[in-house]
Amino acid sequence: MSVGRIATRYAKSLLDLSIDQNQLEDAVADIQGMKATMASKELINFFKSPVIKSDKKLAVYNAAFGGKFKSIADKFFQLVIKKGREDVLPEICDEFLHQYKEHKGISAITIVSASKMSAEAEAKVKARLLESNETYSNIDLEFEIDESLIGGFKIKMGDKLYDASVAHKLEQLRKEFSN
Amino acid sequence: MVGVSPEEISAIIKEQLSGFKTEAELEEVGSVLQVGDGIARVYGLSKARAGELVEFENGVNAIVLNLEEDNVGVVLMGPSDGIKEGSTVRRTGKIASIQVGEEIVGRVVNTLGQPIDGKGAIGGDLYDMPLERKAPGVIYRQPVTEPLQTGIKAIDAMIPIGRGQRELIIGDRQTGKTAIAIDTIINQKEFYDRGEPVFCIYVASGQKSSTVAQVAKVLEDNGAMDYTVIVSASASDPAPLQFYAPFAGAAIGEYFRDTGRPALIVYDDLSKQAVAYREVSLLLKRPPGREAYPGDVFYLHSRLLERAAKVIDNDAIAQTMNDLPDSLKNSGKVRGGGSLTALPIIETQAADVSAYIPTNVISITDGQIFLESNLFNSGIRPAINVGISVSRVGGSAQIKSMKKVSGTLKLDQAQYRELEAFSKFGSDLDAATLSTLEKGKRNVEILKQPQYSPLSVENQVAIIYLGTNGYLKDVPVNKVKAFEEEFLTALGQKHPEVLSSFKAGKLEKENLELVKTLALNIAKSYSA
Repeated sequence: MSVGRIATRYAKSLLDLSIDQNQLEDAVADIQGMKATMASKELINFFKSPVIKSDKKLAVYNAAFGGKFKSIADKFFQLVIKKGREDVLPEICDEFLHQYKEHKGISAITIVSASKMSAEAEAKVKARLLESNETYSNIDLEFEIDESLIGGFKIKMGDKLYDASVAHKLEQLRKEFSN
Repeated sequence: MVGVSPEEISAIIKEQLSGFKTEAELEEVGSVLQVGDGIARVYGLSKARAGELVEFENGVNAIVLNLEEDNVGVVLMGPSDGIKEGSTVRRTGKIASIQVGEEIVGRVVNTLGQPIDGKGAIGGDLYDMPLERKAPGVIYRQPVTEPLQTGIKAIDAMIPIGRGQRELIIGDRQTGKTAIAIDTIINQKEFYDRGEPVFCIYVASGQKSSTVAQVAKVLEDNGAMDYTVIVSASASDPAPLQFYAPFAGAAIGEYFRDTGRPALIVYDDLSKQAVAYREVSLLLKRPPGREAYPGDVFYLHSRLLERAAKVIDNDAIAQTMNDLPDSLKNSGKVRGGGSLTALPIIETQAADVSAYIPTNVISITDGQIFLESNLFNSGIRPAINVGISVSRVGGSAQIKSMKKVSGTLKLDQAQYRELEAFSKFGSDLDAATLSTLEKGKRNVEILKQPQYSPLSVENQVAIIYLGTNGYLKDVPVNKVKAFEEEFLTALGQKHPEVLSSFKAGKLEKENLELVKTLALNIAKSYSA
């Protein structure tokens, strides 16, 4: 089965169960904690290794995280390892956070700009986004810097893209001339 | 070089830029999960529709073929070099189409409609013709009645093809399938010269590039490129381009059909096109069926061949035709009475017509021309097996004179073949059997025809008249060819009025008498 589909199913069941048990916010915090830990390649490589047996992985998990997670997320991680799906754990975490935002009506938006935006500009962009009909009433902004844009910015929300970067305009100009 | 002033250049640049949008738009995008083998899987694009055109960052286009739960499968219409995991893919909201206009005639184009003959861009008014389009509905059609002259005696006499018909050409490798199609295209020169052109489209799908170049050369040398378009997706092109090439050809053909003109399209060949489709389908993880072809390979061919049609001879009704592309509809060029005749080609392996693709296409088309390698090797060329070749449109696609003259030919030849096998066992044969055999042998000689030398219909009528009536009985079998040549030259010189009356479909007694006397006179010099 494709990674995407596995991640979606595990994430959905965790979301549903944590809503039922009123532990949603705790679960989110735990998943974010797990995601932060997985920023180190070491843990991911360990989980993804096909050579290490799953009981060994479980032992390492318990040693490292035992008791640190308060919510049902702890049991969930153990289940994922027992079922041999720990290799898709990063995708499951991402998918869970995505589904959580969807559930809460929060739009996850990434703004990529060529240089760091001023606080004033950020506030302006945020206000404009809230005005538009494309987002939920809550938005979760993330900022990235990509110098290859040359100037201007790109706004990504889900599978929509608003590209007002200089690099994109130059590319369009090139196409116009090559026709 | 002619000097160009800086002012002119800046004027040109200004003009180019005048249509340039500086406003950014909200785009719907996805990102590439996986790319390779001419397909890509894309995450996102949640609103993309099947058959929609999407565009990659580097300008390569792709067509959406698979819509799955968590990704979209697209086939690339260009090289996959510049596409990486994570590349952005944009929706265009359009369906894949190619640009067709009057000036496409005489060109060699690829599946995307771009010229590949090095003669520059295609000029003139261009119309967007979609690759995938529904065939005309029942009320926009009319029965096939006009003949499409192939210039090949055996076909025009016994397996007549009508304008708007689909006639399959099927046979093993090296049996002259392409030759029949090329001869048919060359024969349309007569109509082009007369100002009633039948536009021809030759689609090469999965052929060698050298074969395509050779076909282009032959057509050029015979003056046939003036009314012909070649669509080429050779074996080295990506599989998606190969299986879409016939659709691109059909889109070009529809341009002529819907503007009220007759067109002929040759799909060379659909077995290789089906293989390309199978390749893409398997890469997209569609379940394989018989011979590993996907379940919809029948639909692939049936929807393509349904687009061949004879459009109703009424402009008002034709203008309301279903699925007319907007650019063509708004131009006011839509007329009735056009037609698109399709000659699909299928290559069989060891004469096995019961394989999957041959049986499918046989059942879709309105008849088939069977070519056999043993006939080809015994010198009967074109190597048409008359017994199992049929045309379901039949006599209504023949001019009256040809219908009358050739009426008994097919039966005669069937009888001849039966007796031929029988006669090998003994030499004591009665006079009636002997005369059938002798007549049959001469008819076989008459139906032989060299490549690239199509014969006009009035000449065909004259020579077949002699054959079916047994006026050649004094000419030795090995001299029939020479006799035919001399006879047709003499007839053209002495009695051109007879030929033009045959052409008009008339078969008058005194004309036939003239032909008979001339033939018997010439035959005397051959007998002995």
